[in-house]
Amino acid sequence: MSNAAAVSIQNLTKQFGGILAVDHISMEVKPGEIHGVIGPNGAGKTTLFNLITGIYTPTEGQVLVDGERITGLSPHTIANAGIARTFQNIRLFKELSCFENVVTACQNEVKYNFLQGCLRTPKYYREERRIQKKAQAILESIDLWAVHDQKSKNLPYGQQRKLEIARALAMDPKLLLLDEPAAGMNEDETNQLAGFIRQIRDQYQVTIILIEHHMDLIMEICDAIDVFNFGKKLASGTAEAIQNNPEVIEAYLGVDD
Amino acid sequence: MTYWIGVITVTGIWMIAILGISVLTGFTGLFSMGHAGFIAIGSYVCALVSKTFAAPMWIGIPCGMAGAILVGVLIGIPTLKLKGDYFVIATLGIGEIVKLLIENVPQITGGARGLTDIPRSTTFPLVLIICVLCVVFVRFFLTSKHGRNGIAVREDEVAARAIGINVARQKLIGMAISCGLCGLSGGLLAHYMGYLYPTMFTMAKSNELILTVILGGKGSLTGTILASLILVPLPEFLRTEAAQEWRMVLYGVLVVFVIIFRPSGFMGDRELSIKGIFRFFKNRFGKKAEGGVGK
Ligand SMILES: Nc1ncnc2c1ncn2[C@@H]1O[C@H](COP(=O)(O)OP(=O)(O)O)[C@@H](O)[C@H]1O
Ligand SMILES: [Mg+2]
Repeated sequence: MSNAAAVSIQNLTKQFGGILAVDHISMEVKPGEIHGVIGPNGAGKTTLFNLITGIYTPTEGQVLVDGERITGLSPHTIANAGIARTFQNIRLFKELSCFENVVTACQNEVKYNFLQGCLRTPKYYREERRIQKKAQAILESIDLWAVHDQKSKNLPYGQQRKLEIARALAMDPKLLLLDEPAAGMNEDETNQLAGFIRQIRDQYQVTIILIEHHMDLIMEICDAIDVFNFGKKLASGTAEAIQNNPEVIEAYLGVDD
Repeated sequence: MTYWIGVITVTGIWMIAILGISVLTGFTGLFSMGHAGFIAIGSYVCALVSKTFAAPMWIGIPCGMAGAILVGVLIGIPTLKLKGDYFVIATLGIGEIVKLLIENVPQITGGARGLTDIPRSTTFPLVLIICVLCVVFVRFFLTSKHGRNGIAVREDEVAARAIGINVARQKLIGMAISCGLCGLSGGLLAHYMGYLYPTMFTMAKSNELILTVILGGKGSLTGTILASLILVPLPEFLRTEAAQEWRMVLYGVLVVFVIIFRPSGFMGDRELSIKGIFRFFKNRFGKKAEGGVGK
């Protein structure tokens, strides 16, 4: 029943001028896993997401999702294949309401064509009613229904982050990429985030790759973790293994404490 | 009386073009500096088809629309894929090229002396009906998936891509609709005026149309309609020659005022609806009642 995706990243490399932002990275993500990616600023984590989602073309290497190569496809094709993301710097449709943000993101499953839309055929009404119900259910499931008709730019930071996740969920993703979802959240919100991300994984049956700086959060919910440093993979393994890896402690965790 | 009906008819004709530009600028986030060129294509193609084949208007107008859409899409395909201002520059170019072309093939277009003797078959009721249909069409488009996708592109292209929208294609849809409506407007104009001159379609005209959209509020259909209804017939209210000359100055002043006091335009991105008006008065009334009881 689960449609969660298996991801295989092979030898992925991205060069910007003189620097290797992502340097021959290989990693495997199992279906239904919450997979953490950590590393200092500039380690290449966001670039990894941009390579997976097709915003950048890799200099070398490829990404397979459920065994199929997605590298080289255009960003919208990759998105429509069920790969959704959030952004480190929130990118909502600012002037639209929360509800409209989520409804808009349902676009790929809406099956009426241009003419049927402009003529408002029965199919138009059927499809619109369906995605509106769906958007409402998503917003209710993550506690945003109370603010559904507010402009998204007027929401507090934490709710904007949640709305971005809601918008991603509207795409029925099989893979969800979260880029620092706790950034800008207060302590309360961050504490709730762990349960929230787990709930999403279980309820929506997605594989999640999570970039985060909050070690507690990462250690609490990730089934597996990769550590990046200067574009290279420094280590990978479970939370305990990572925590006890001397190289990681030196490069990252040591600094954090 | 007939004079004022004429003013309203012309206002309606231009409003159709402005609706098109509203879809492009207000709801897809693209700026064009040359849409008068597409009105010119629509009007000349329509007039020439009607004159050459002695065809009725309902054959000429779709031909004009098709011509405008074709040229618009052909410019859009290479430029809308690129980032930055290529599109704006391309539209600026096409606006001027169309005008120059019309001026320089007088055998076909009548050149600078104009194209005359076009059957005057555009009537007030016809324009009224077409206007209403266009408003309904644009409204239905905007509330459909394709319209929403365009708004998403306006809001944030990267995010639009990330939810699976083909941004280049979406911009092309906006371009095609705007060119189609401009073509329609041009065809009606040709058959209303009975003559056409290339100087009817200058860059100043393009700017005037886009200013109307901006003043009405980018992203508000009712704002576009209200602004058209006020600004298009404005020169008719200011009949004196001095006023005519100062019209663009007035536009400039209006823009400055709007930028200072209402940066998002007259209506912002809100829509005027019967429900909304009702709510507005209810809130007013409600507040008064509350104040009376409470304090
Ligand atoms: N579009 C770009 N052009 C040039 N350099 C870039 C670009 N995007 C990222 N980089 C560089 O790549 C490196 C990795 O950046 P990034 O992936 O954003 O790091 P992280 O998300 O781990 O903090 C940084 O040195 C950054 O400056
Ligand atoms: Mg980053």
